[in-house]
Amino acid sequence: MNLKLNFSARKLICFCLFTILILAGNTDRTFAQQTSSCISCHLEEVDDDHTELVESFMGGVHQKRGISCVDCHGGDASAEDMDDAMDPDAGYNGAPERKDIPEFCARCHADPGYMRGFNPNLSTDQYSKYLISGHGRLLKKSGDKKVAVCTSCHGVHGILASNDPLSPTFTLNVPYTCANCHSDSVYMAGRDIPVTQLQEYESSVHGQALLQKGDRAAPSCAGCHGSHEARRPEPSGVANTCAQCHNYVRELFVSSPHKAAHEKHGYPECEVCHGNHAIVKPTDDLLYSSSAGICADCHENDSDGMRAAKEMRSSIDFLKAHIDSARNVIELVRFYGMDTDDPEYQIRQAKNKLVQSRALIHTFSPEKVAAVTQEGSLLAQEANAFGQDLLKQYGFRRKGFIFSVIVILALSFLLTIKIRSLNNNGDSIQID
Amino acid sequence: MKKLKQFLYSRLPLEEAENALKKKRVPVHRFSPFYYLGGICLYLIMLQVITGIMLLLYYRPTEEQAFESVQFIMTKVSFGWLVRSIHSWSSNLLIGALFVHLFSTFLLKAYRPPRELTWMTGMLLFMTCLGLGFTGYLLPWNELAYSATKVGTEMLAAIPLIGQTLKEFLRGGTNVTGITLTRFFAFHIWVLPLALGMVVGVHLLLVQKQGMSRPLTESSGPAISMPFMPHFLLRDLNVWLLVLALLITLSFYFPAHLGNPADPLAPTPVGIRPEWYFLFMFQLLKLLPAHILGIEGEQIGILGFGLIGLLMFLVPFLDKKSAAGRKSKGFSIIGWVMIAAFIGLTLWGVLE
Repeated sequence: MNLKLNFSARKLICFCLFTILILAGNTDRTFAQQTSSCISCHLEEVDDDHTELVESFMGGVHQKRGISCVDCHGGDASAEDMDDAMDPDAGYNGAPERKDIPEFCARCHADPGYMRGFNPNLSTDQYSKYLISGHGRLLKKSGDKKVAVCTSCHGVHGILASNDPLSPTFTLNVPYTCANCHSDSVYMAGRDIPVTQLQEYESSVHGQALLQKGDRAAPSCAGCHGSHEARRPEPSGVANTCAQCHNYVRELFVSSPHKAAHEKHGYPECEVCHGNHAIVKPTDDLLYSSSAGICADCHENDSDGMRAAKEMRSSIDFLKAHIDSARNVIELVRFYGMDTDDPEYQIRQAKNKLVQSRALIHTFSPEKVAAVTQEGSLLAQEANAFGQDLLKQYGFRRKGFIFSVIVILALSFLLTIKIRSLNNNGDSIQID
Repeated sequence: MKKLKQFLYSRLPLEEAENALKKKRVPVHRFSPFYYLGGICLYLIMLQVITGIMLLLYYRPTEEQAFESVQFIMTKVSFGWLVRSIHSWSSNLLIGALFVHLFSTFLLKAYRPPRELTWMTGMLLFMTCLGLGFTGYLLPWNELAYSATKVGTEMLAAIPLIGQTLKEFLRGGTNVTGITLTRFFAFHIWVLPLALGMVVGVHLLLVQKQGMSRPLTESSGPAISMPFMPHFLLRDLNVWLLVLALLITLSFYFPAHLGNPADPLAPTPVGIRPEWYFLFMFQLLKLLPAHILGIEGEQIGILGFGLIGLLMFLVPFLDKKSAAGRKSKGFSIIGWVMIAAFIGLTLWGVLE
C-alpha cells in the first residue's frame, strides 16, 4: 500500500487540520490566523517548499501560541491578492538575511513586556547572551555567516518548545544538534576547533548517562558550555563549570595545594586529569598504578607528589581488600541460607567510606584519605567478624542437624526392629 | 505412677478408650500404606500448633512491626530460624499430605457408607488448612506475601453477588493494609485453628467409630488385619520420625526466607504467583478467555471451582455404585483426571 500522499491530498489534509485548529480555539490571535490569506495561498498556490513551510509552522510552538505569519514577516494577511498581501508598503519585510536573524527573533524574544503575554516563565535574555557567545561574537565582529544563529539550533518555521522530545534543543537531542556543525569537518574547516567532540562525548561518562540511560540530569553540551551564551570556557573557569554538579570535589580541590599550582601555570584544573569531552569513569589506576597513573604526567617518580599518590592508592586498596574479604564471607553465609542483613548494612557503610575516600583524593592529602579508609576498614572488619560468627553458627547448625537426623534414624531403626519382632508373633495378623 | 493411673481411670472413661483401641484393627492389603496419611496429617497439624505457639511468643501482628518481628525471630531468637522454617515447611508438607490423603480416599472410595460424614469432615479440614495457608502467608508482611494476598483476595471479588463484599471483608477495606494483616492474624491463630480443632475431633471420632475402610477391590478373599495397638501405632510413629527427619533436612538446607518488607506504594514484583497449592487454580484462570458467553472468564472459573468443591463435598451421595458396593469406574476416571489436571497445571505454573 502506498502511504505517500500526493500533493493535493497533503494540501487538503493541512487545510482540514488548520480548519479544525481554528475551530478548536477562539482567541483573538487564532482569529487573526483564521483570517490569514498567507496560509491559504501558500498551501494552494505555491510550490512544495512553501507548502512544507506552512505544514511545519502548523505544529510549532508559535502557531500554538497564536502567532501568525504577519507577526514575523509583516504584510497584510487580510488581502486576498498576493501582491497586496506581500506589499512592503503594507509592512511586509520578507525573510531576514542569516546575519539578521538574531535581531529578527529578538524583536519579540528580548521584549519582556511582549513575551509576558505568552509565557511569563520564558527568559528574555537570549539575545544578550547570544551577543557574548562565541557564535554571536564571530557574527558581529567578523560577519562570519557560517556561525550558528537562532534557526541553526531551533529550526525555522516548525520551532518546538525545548521540553518537546522532538525539539532539536531537547536535552537528549542537544549533542546531535551541536554536532550538525561541530562534527562536520568541511563546515568547520579553517577554525581552531576539533570535530571529534560528539564522538568523544558519546564515549564519556556524561554521554553514556544522557544518551544511553536517558538521564536528563547528565550534562549535554549546553550543560557545560551554556546554550545561547555558548563559548569555550577559559582555563580558570573550567573548575567552576564542573562545580555546577561536582561542588564537593571542587571545594576539596580549592583547599588543596594543587589549586595555587594550577593558577600559577594557568592549568584548566579538573580538565588536566579528567579531560573534557571524553571524561571516562575514573579508576583507582588513574591515581597510581604500576605504570604510574596520571600523576606521573606532572610529578617525578620519587617526588613528594608521587609518594602522596602512592600512599593514597595504598589506603584505598587497603579498604577495598577489607570490603572484598567481608563480602566473600557474607556471600558464603548467604549461600548457606543465613540472614545477612546486619553485616550487609555494614558493608554498604564501608563502601560509602570508599566513595568518600575517592573524593578526598582531591585534597591530595594522604592523611585525610587514610583517616576515612581506616573508618571504612573497621566497618568492613566488623562485617567480616559478623560473617565469621554466622559461619560458626552455621557449623553449629550443621552439627545439630547431623546429630538430630542420626538420632531420629536410630530411633526409627529400633522401632523397625520392634515392629518386625511383633510381626513374628503369630497373634499380629488375623484372617477373618 | 500406678496410683496416678488408678486416680485417672476411676474418674475418666480411659478404660473404655483403651479397650476400644485394643480392639481396633487395621486392614492389611496392598493399599495399606495410604492409611499412614491420616496420621501424617495429624502429626503435621500438631507440629504446626506447637511451632505456631512458639512463633507467637515473638510475633507482632501490626503493619509497622510484623516484618521486623519475624526478622528478629530469624536472626536473634535462639533456634528461631529453625522453628519458623519447620512451621513453613510443615505447612507445605501438610497441604501436600492432605492432597494425597484426599485423592487416595477418593480413588479407594473410602467415602462410601457409613463413612459419608468422615469424608465431609475431611473436606472441611482440607478447606480449613488451605485457609490457614492463605492467611499465614501474609503474616511476615514481606513484598511477596503482600502482592500474593492482593492478587488472591482480588480473585475472590469475581464471585458473583458476594465477591466484592467478601473481598472487602477479608481486606478490612478496599486495599490490603495493616487492617488486613490484623484480620488475617485473627483468622490464622483463632478462628481457623478453633474450627480445625473441632473438625479434627469429629473426624477422629468418626474414624475411631467406623474403623479403616477396606477398598472394594480388596473386599474379595479373606479379610486380613493387624491390631492398631501396638502394631499400627508403632508403624505410625516410625513414619512420623521419618517425616521429622525430612522436615529438619528441608529446614537446614532450605531455611524459610523473609525477603524485603512489604511496600504498598511499590509496583507488584514481576512473576508474582501464589503458593504452589493454589497454583493450579491461578494457572487455569489465566487460561480462560476474558469472556465466556458474555460472562467474565474469571467469574466462570471461580464458580467452576466452587461447583467442583461442592460436588467433591457431596461425592458420597453422588457415587451410587460405590454406595451399593459395586465398582465405580466413572468416579475413578474423574479422580485420575483431577490428579492429572492438578499436577499438570501446577507444574506448568512452576515452570512458566
